[in-house]
Amino acid sequence: MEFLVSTNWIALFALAIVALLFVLIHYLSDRINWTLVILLALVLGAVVGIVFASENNTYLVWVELIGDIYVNIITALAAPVILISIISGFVSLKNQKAVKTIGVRSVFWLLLSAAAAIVLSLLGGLIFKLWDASAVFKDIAAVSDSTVSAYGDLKKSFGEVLLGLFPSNIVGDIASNNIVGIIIIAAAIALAYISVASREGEESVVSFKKLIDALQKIVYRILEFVIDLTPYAVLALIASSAGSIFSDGETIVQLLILVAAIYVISFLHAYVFNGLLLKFVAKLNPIRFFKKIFQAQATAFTTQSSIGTLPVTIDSLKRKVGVGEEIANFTAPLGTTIGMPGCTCVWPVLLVMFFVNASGLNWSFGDYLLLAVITLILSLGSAGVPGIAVVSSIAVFSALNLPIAAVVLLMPINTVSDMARTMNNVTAAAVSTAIVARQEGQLDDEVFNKEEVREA
Amino acid sequence: MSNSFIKKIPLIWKVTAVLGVLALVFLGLSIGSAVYSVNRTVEAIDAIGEVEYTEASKQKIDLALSYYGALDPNIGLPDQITNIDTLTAAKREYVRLGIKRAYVADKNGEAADTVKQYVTEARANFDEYCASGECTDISNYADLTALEEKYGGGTQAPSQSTPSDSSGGEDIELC
Repeated sequence: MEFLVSTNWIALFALAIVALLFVLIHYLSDRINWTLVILLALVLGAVVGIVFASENNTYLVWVELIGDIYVNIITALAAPVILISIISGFVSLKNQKAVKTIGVRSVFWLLLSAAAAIVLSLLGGLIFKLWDASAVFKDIAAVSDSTVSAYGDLKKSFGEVLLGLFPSNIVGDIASNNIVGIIIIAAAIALAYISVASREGEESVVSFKKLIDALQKIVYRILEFVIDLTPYAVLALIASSAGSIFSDGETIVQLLILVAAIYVISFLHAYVFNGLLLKFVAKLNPIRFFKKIFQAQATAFTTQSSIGTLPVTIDSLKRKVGVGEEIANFTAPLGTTIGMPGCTCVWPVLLVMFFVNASGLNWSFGDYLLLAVITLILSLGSAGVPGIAVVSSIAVFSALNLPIAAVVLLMPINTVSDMARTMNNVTAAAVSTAIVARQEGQLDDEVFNKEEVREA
Repeated sequence: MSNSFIKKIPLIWKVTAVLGVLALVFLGLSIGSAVYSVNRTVEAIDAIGEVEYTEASKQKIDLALSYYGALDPNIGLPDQITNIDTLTAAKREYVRLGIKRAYVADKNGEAADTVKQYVTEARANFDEYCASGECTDISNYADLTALEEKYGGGTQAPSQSTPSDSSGGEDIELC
């Protein structure tokens, strides 16, 4: 009878239930709208997570594994997709000036988006008044020095942030998903190609172009396989997230207003601010646009990784929104490093305001202005991986001479808020990409206005 | 059911059926596992019987404790243990007997090293079984602190809220 207690049968039961739900999703995916399928996966995942909520997510250990495998696979695809796509896109541009214009415009819109997120967070923080949460920080002295020191090591100076953007080792940058580094490498290769082709004639480098085109086809075929798995991954990931959130409900309730503020501001930025940009700058129907990038938003929400979501974002922008290949391949990846309004703007600003209010510090307009400037500078370079928001907030806290221990105490709500933050990052990057595409005349309205069809 | 009939069933329904059966099996095993783990804990506690200061008695307590510790709190299994008071009492009694042995050895004028070893052992018992603060009424706890002072046990004694009566007033018999 010992076998009865030596195996986690409830975890296997949860796995079997999730597998049954996978069958249901598979069945429905051929019959209903793809967006609805993902929405259904989100709801089913949340229900599974709530039902099987347990300490340390012990009941969802196998389900969590499915989600983690998906995140690993899709993250592994990010670097080759960006590298190959940017080279391919720019090679077809055949114009060095166009590369420069796209670059400048992309950085401008991404930073504008970040600045808007900072302003929204400051206003939101003041409107929410960010409550009296002094109880949350009553144990601030109890946070051990070693913990504070470990977190403190994560912070980076502006110089380090800037330096980190540039490639130091081609293989290393690709291996570590240094997106800006990869973009620079790809752009350098493409510019060199254009230069050689214009000097010596295209025939001298045609074999390189053929190789890149072939590689792109292969990488995108792999991507299609992985993207087809999105609804299943969404279900598994949301289940494990919901499971861990509900098992830690007490802490969440304590910090509920902060979580609510992060969600409200992230969604306001994602849908209202970006909606206005879409309507008046990109001249696109916002509702239709958000519907078309919903798969990327859902992937971001569940994986909590902007880089991991990147292949889905690029795919949605190209095939559904109608953004030209070179811009989709350039601006969207750049948005996983520059800007990142959810993780590097909304989260650190709200945390600072939460702490300032809770500690009864009397901040002047100048202090808030300094907070805004520091946050904007730091938003210039952050990797779009889970946990980057913690690094950003530690950098902001230490730049403002606030205790890092406060960030440590707010860690319990990191996961639950990271979902909304990452969704915001991806939405902002997609919207900036669409705007640049519109400005460069590389947005196909015919593709955008086409009704969604089941593509898998 | 003929083979041709099974072949006619679409693959998706076959997969659903297999997974449905698996889910039911796992659910059954989950329930069986819960019931079994509660039963074996209750039985292990009952098996402790009269506590003596022996390795066998300690093993019985430890076994019951390990079973109890393995119960899944997410579905409230620890609350199903009807005889948990017996386990708590057994731990208390074992700790008390350990202290008593050290006290008796001291009273009988045994070698200081031996008494010191008993005192260290008694403290280890206390730390092992009473660390969670559930046995606050060890009747001879004061003897342990007194012996630690006398023999320089070096262990910091946690506070014992319940006043203790010295073993000096108890029957002194080794177990």
